[in-house]
Amino acid sequence: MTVSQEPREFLSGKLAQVDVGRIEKELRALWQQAKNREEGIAGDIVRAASFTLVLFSTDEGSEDKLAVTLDELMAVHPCRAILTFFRQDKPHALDAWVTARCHLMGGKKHVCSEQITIYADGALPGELASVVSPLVLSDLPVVLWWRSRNLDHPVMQALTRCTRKIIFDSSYEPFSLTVLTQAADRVIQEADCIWLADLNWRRLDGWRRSLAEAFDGFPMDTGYLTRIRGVKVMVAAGADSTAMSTQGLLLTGWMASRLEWHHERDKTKRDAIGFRSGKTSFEVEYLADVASPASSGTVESVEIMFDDGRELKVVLERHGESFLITAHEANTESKESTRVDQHFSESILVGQELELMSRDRIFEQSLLVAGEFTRLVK
Amino acid sequence: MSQSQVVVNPLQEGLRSERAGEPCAMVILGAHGDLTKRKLLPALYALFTQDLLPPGFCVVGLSRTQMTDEQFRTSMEESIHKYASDLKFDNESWERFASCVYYRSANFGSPGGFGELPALLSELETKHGTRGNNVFYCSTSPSLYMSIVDRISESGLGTRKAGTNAPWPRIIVEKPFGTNLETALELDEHIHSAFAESQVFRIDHYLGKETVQNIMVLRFANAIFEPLWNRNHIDHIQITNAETLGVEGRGSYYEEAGNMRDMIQNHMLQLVALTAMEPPISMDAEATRDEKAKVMRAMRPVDLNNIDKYVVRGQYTKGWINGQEVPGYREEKDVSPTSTTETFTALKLYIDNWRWAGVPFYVRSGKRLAKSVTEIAIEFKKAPLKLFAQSFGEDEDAFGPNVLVLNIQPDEGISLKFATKQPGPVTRLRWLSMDFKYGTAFGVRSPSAYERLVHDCIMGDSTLFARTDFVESSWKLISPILDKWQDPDCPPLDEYPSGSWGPESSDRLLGAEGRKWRLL
Repeated sequence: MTVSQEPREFLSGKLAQVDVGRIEKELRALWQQAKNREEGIAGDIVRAASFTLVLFSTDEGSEDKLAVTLDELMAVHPCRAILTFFRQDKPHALDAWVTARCHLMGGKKHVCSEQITIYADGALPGELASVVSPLVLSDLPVVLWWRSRNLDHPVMQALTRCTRKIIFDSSYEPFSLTVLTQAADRVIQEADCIWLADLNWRRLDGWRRSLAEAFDGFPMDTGYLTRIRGVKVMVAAGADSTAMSTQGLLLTGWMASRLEWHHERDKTKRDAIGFRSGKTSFEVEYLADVASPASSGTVESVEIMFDDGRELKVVLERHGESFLITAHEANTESKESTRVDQHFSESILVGQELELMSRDRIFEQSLLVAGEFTRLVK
Repeated sequence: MSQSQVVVNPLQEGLRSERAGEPCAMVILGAHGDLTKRKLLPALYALFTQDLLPPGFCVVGLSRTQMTDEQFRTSMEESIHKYASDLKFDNESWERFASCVYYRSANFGSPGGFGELPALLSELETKHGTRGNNVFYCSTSPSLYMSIVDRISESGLGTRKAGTNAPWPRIIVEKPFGTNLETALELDEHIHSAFAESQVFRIDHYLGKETVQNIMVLRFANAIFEPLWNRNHIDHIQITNAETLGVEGRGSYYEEAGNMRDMIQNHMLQLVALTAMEPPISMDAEATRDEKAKVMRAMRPVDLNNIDKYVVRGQYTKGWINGQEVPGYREEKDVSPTSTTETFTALKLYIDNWRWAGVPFYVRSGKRLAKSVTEIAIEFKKAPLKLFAQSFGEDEDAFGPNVLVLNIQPDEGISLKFATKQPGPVTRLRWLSMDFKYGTAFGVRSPSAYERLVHDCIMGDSTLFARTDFVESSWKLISPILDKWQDPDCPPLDEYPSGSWGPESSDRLLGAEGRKWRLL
């Protein structure tokens, strides 16, 4: 339930006229108003925040969709949300308003989080950052949810000064591999101070788990991990696009980093990466499934060949509302290991990242390897 | 038996499913009972919906009742709807979960009584890939525990093999672990004839509660508390478990157990140990349990010659709870009209170690009390100088101490009571409470205690389970008191009206030392 659904218009004008203190004053007025209305609704109102979420979007018209996403997110992760919509090509203006999102908890209390929405039209990166920085909650972590394609955007530099974790999504342009290079560079540059998270990596959780479990003795023994002699990654793709997607590369980066595969520069081409494991060379090949109804760039199947001729195929299948990832070991007796890969919404994926307020070392290692691939691909 | 080495799968590293454990089957002995319906199956289904069960996980229900797999599944589905309404139930996930749920009838008391179980477990190994890893959950009357161990041994299901963190098979035993020191030792010896201690998981559901787990986090992850956590700064500690409920149809059980065995010997002493323990050298299960065991070993035996100065027992009479008149204990079903079973216990305990010398731990637990609440209250010493004495007025009590309260239930959280100045030109002080509530700080549903504990057992993590030496020490403390209560010279049982805070003698336990129970 939302106590104050209607946005309170707060300020409009040039940056020079922005008074951050007035935003805080408006927030106080909002809570007073909520408290005064407390008797009209069931239960007490509690203001809660355990971190500041700064959302950056260059996507015009995304506010309505985000309202639903934020509502779901803030019900589980109470925070102060600062939404910034950056529209470079508009006449210079800065508008802001505050709202509260409240959720009834256990039929007793309304737990409310505050949201500050800022429209930054034609503003300079530093201008926007100078409004956001004083609004973050003191001494609590700041998470930057980067809903934009370009990780080298000038605003990113300005906003990351106060940020602990950056959440981005490399699936926005699933076949533009540059984002992985940019992210890998950022991991190297900001190694000690900022944690990076990719929602596209989080979508691979089911894949990683299915593949890992397939080598837990059922159907394959763990020893087979050193006997891999070829991998085929099938990806949903348009007729004219490459098969090498950001998600496919992250999955390969993960396998290569965990299994200590070394890429072979001279054997890497547009649709395949050459690897060496011990003394054996093999390829990870990327294939396009142009008929797939899945989102472009999504991994559809992973086929793994072994030195004794056995083959393991792990496939994404839609079952009603959910997805299953199933591992088949076809060469010997038919055994299969099944695991649900829930089709998570953006709010759930971001929520999972908010639960992990620490460095994801496995992701970083996978990203660094995937970043190297993007430089090799011819 | 030698244990084979567990090969590490590098792809598992860093996965959220690292928390899903090795494939296994859970055999629930006493599967037709209340605990299975109310707690166990809902916990397992909740774990399943969160992908926290290992691949190939199966449940086998076992009890005397004749039932088919399908009838058992239907019965369990109904129980989830009835007892776990907070769970997000959907037919699709239930169908998938239920397809791994089986049932067989068995007679635990007779040789060969496991019937088809060994064959079924072997079949599940091939069908679901359980790898022959089994967890035996004793959800039966404690009187059957020893027979169950015999059945496991005779059917060859007790053969030990290596597992992650703990060997397989594993056995989960519900409290009470014995009824006194002698029976507890006998039970332990019997269990150890088939299982090593690392395979035994003695469940105390209190330890699975989020707030109980948070006691260690609060103490050892926050540097500000530990320097104050000793006899120099703490006046005393009060641990309260109050229930408005009566025996709720469990009269025959309660007549045997009483409050001391039902609550104090296990749950309450675990809370004392968590509050009093030294920082463990690591979060390893044994390191944590070592420290708890040390607390128990340092606990001063109650002076039986002056038992009334240390222990109070009471029994509820009829009274009023939440506007409803309720019967007295002796009027409850299956309770003797001349029963002397205690429904309330209060103790004053001392831990004779460097940290706690001279600091009393007041522990009380009772049924049919005014309010349902469980908390640990740390009462600090008062400020050495009454600088603001006039600001509090004449009331000496108003010059209160700081109190840190760990709320275990129902409103899980932490609060700190401190003095502050009221706004205005005159210096007037008020005591306020700074509260943290789990329910509002985190919008996520807390897992039930059984979810946490069953999951930990599957993972082979025994941190939150009672170790044999803890159980033994707790009985060494409690058994002499129970014996003394049988002595005709012992002070009699005190009565208290339902809806009160226990017998007056409970207040005198603290009053004699100028202290009071907290007003809850």
